[in-house]
Amino acid sequence: MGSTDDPVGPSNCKSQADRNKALDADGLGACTRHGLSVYLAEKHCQHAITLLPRLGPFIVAADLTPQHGVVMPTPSKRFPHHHTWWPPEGLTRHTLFAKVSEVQICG
Amino acid sequence: MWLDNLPQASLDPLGQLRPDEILFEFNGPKIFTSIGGFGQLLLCYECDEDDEGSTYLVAPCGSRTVEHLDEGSVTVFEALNQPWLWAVRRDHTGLRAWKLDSLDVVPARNRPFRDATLKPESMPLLTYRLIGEGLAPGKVPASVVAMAVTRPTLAIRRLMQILGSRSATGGRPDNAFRALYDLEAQRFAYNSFEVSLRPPEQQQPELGASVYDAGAEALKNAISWLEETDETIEPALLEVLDALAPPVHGRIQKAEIRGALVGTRRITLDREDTKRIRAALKSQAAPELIETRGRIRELDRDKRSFTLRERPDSSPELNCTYSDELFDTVWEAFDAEVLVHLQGKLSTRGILEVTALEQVTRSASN
Repeated sequence: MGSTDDPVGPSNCKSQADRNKALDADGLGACTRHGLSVYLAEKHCQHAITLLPRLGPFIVAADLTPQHGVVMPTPSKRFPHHHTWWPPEGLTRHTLFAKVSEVQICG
Repeated sequence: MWLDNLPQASLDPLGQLRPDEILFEFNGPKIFTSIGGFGQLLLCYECDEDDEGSTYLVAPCGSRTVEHLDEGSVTVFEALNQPWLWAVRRDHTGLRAWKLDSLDVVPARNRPFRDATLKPESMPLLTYRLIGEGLAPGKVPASVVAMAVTRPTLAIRRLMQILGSRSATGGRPDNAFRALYDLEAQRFAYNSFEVSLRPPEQQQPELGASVYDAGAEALKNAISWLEETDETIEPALLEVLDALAPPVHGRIQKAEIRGALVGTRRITLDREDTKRIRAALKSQAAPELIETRGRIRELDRDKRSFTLRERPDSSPELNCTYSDELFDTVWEAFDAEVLVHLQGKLSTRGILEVTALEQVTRSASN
């Protein structure tokens, strides 16, 4: 996923629910907004940062295991690669991630 | 905050900014369409977010705009960069709007990259930007437009030919390989002037992905040579760099490279780089020019290569390559099984690139 900070800070690992923005969601969105968007391939994360530079500039990765919660594919018609990670309550999320590359932000 | 000094605008045309169709989602909807206050379609882009709320860039869009975004023929930047453009803040107090003159007033981290397409598979393989004074809409010489297309096209062709020849004994890469460098011009932009190239849609995705990954690795090595003076470089890669570097004279001072071939980076080449590349090219040993005779065997018409045997003085057989221009001449000599006299450049790999070839007449052969 993308991170504004290196090392990754807690604000980079907030779900929509953490930001109180899941109240009006319905359907699948009511579930996914309690998780965090993640990609399995660096190039897809890189693309996300070119669309939303404020997510970066850092591409950060973590080795998530079942003890870190649940990761499931949550594809859409346009984005078959999208996954959502639901970490368990109380897990410190940001320390799991480390920088793998950096995108040069350009206009 | 960058919005503080901008004039506030009426909310009437904007509606409630509720997503109608979500185009891109990452921790919630980030790019979506909504229905405006007058029933018109709007494109909304979440340009900032905090615990209190979100800020959106909002522009009118037509139903075709979404199709163009899906096809990759329009970037998200272009779709947003409309004469009517607002920033809209939604937080616990409700909605507020500001009128924007253009996307140029928005900080770079709060707007999409100029060449970012909605879908990752539509992202350009290479975006080539020529930078020079006075290049603006309506003021770009046709020669610069031509240069912006021909130079990166030539560079990619050379790059793909290097990769093709690495996996073959020589000669022309096969048809599937050649399709990989027959690129399409995806978009043009006045920035100073740039062109984005992408692979043709009909190409074989699996072959394309692996070859373009190998191309990216080769180009990375070439750029490392430019940036690190103690690196070595494959001579053929110098020719790739030479195609991308700006001319030493004229209006163009720098060339910038972005896109999948250079990953997350933005590479700028200036005239000093051009001089260094050309000096390195000159210092490369010139290929040996030779003349020889023999009979053409094992002709590979697709790869434009053949094996020359029955050479004078029991010389060993010689692998040769030839250009399209010599196709008929080579084929006739092969078909007639006659002796040929040929000239060419012998590469360091021992492959002769034939530059001239003629059949040896009976009297001459005697």
